[in-house]
Amino acid sequence: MYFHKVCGKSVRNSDYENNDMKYLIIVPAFNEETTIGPVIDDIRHEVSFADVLVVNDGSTDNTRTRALEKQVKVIDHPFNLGYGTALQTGFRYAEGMGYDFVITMDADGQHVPSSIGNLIETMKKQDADVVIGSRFLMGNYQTGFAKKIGIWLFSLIGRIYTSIEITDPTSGFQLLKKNVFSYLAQGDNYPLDYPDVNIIMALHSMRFKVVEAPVAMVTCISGKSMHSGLKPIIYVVRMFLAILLIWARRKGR
Amino acid sequence: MSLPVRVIIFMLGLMLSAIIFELVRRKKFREELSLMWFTVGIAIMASSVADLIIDPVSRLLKIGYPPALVFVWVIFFLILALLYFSVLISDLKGKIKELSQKIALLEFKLTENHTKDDR
Repeated sequence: MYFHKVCGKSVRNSDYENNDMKYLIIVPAFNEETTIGPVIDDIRHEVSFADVLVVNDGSTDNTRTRALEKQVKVIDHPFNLGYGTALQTGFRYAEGMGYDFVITMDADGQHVPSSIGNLIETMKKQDADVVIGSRFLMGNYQTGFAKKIGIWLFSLIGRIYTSIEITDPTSGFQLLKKNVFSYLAQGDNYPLDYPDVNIIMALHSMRFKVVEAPVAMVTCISGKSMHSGLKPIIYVVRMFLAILLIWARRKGR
Repeated sequence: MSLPVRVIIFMLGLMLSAIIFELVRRKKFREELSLMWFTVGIAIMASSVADLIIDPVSRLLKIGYPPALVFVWVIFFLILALLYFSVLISDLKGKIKELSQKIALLEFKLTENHTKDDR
């Protein structure tokens, strides 16, 4: 199901292999034993210049074994700490090992690795610190009505605050420069369970340059999403609070 | 209030204070927390004569049902206590997060060194 590639320019590995920049792909995984193997294969198939790190966020299934079978680095949380914390552990590792760039991808196969080239190109062209992969700039991604409204609302807030056009604030498919992930690796700089427009706003207020790039995403593979049941409402309220706090914690206040 | 009721309430407060003292002595909880509970114990002991204060105060504030004043105070302090515990829990959660991340990274380094040694 995962090999169903939507589109996206393939990554010409030769472009990146020869320079000294070190890339790390961080894949946070929580109970993804069925998809983690194919995801890693897919990444390896498309991208040879980057190392792959799986942050196993306290999975109770065979995620760890499946990942280790693919000869990637696996860091285990002793128990589930949430998506944002798993990413932060990855950032800390990347900082400690002296990586120059970090690419974050989901373990459920939603993100298509061939789009990584787009992210890197965009970063180079626009001299950005953060590139967020947007599924909507590609123009062929379908999503549910409620999610559409949520994304529209938070994009609007983000646009008003940062004056950046953000079409896909929930995207976990990102490319970050060393200065950015080093900043996010510190203490409480990566607060919520799920990064959203609040992170983009926080990065903007730290004067990092945030831009978007079109990426291919596969429409809902496993069916289970982090947004279901009562959770969307709680999520929206929490996000509002987080946004309010970013505004309240602005420098000089 | 009749005298036996006052005595019983006072004894209850005394008992609670004794239990708290014993818990602190055995180091079952930390001293800064015990301060709050000692206050509760003393408050219960004081409540055995509270009607002497509360009745005139409620009359002054024109509260028709004096115990309502007691409830308001008690609920207010309970909310304060809950707030305090929320702060404590948040703090602990943050510390646990930091520790788990450190452990995860250290464990990774350890196993990586081991595999290097094995080669």
